[in-house]
Amino acid sequence: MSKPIIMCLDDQREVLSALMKDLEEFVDAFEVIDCESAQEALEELETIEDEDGNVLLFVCDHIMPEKTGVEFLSELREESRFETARKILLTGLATHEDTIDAINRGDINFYISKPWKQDNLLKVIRQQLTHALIDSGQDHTPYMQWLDQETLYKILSKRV
Amino acid sequence: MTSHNSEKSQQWFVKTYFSDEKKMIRLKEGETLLEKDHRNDRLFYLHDGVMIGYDGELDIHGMPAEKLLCEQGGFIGLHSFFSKRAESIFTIVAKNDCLVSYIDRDQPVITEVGATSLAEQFMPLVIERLAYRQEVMCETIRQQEKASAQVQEYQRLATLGQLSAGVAHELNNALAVITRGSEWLSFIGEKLISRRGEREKEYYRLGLEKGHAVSSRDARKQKKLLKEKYSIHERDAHAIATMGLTEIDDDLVEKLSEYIKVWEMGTTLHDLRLASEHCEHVVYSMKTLGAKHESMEDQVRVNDSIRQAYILVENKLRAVKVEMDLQAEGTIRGNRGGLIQIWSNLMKNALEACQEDCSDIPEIKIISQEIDEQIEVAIIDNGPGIPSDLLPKIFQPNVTTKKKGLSFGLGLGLTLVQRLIDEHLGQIEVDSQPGKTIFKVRFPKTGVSDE
Repeated sequence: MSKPIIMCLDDQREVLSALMKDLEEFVDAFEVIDCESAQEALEELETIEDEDGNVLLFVCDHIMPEKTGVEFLSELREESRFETARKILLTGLATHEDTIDAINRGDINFYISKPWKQDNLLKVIRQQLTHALIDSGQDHTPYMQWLDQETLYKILSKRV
Repeated sequence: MTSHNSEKSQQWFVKTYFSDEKKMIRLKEGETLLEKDHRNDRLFYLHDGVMIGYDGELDIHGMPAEKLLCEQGGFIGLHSFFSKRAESIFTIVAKNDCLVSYIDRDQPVITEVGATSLAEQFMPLVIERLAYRQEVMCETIRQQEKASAQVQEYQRLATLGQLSAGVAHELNNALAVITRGSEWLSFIGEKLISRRGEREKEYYRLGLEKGHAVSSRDARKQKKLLKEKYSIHERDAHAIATMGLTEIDDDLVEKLSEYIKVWEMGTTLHDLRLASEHCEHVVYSMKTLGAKHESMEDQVRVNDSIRQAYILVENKLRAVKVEMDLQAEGTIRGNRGGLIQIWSNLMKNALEACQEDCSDIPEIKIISQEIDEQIEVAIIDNGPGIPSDLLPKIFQPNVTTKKKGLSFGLGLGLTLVQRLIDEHLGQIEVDSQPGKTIFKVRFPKTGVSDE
């Protein structure tokens, strides 16, 4: 089975590279895909569908050409295959309305402002990955090393 | 009834009361007809010219405030003649050469319908004139309100400018550390890496100079090919693809991840440089918003500043068709740098606007011409136009049509342009509809170029 996917979107190449660098430790267990626009991401998502890939997490900038991050994320709500996927909005500039919009329409799970701190970003990503992985019904044991133990414990203890 | 109506018409009054050659006065520009608080027993009719009334108050510029404006066909002395005061409430001065007629207080009534007094006969006319004066006054007040709103807006901008300049200064110090630091690291990095070998230096420089040369989309395609061809780790294949390399030497494969690390060092420093350049640009815009351009020269050639601005943005303008028609060879009083900034901002806006909508071939026209004593520069693009709700606000800070926020959407560009144009005593106007947006800038001409 192919690796579960983390998809990152940012229109600024340098920012995207910095993000990819910070996510390097996930590359062994996850496929980390970088996209420079929502359009590119949508195309890539089609390919992923054809290959039966499983996207667990989106890390998405807000202000991008053609389509904003919130617009992109809100479109994903239409598709049932992303129902359990987690969404993180990573943005440098967002007005109050943007933020409200992100929560109401984009259905985001977490909001990180730029510039971010690596340890904070990684913690959030681990937490969200943990949720996504459990919700998707996949066996989480091969991924223990990349998950947030505390979150995992909370989720599992609720189940019992 | 007809005769009564005719008494009401102004022509009848002029003909009947104000056409006696012996009661006509000619005034030269600046001559005084009435003095405030002095006795007046006459009612004047202004045949020709303009007269101004003052009451001794000063306006905000310290000049005598104009309280009454009387044009051809108006009456002067209405108040003192008909009220019991019999003293002029204004000092009335001729603004240009004037011709007036008058009647005296003891003027007998001339009537066709039996009016018993001048007051009775003149009343409809007097009320009409007073109502007109009041209307003019209200209009003046409205204009003053408008002007004071504008002053407030300027003050708000000035405050913002000062604030920006302060912030910019603080950021510049931090930026200097980042810029100088990354430059030093680039330099030292190259020295240290060179010691490890020519190849490493090559990869380092590739990263440093080109950064991520390939788009994420193309890199993904190339990655798959490289991965299969050399059976290397996915991560390494991705890095090689991003470098823009389509093949690698076989002996490299073993130590690949080391070369990639060196390349990544290069790209990181490359990105740092780009990012700090971007910051510098933002800070520079903020600072110029707050700063005044002090050094004004008397003879700045507008066309030269347009050409210089064009050179600055040329590499960005390559994607569009640019037509230049620079006819204005005259000069203006201005600051060269400020002018270049005005043009480059407007050109960049035009460029971004017409690139936004790809239905037409993007096209920008830059026209300069001399109109009377002014130099007019028009910058025209065939972009989608400015939405009509935004149009009245485009010179305010934080208003931007660039929702796409490409790399720069602070909404400071036009605010800055407006400020600079104000400093040059110029005017800017904009006319926008889908497919044609014109920014017109006008400056007072100071001279004719020697050429």
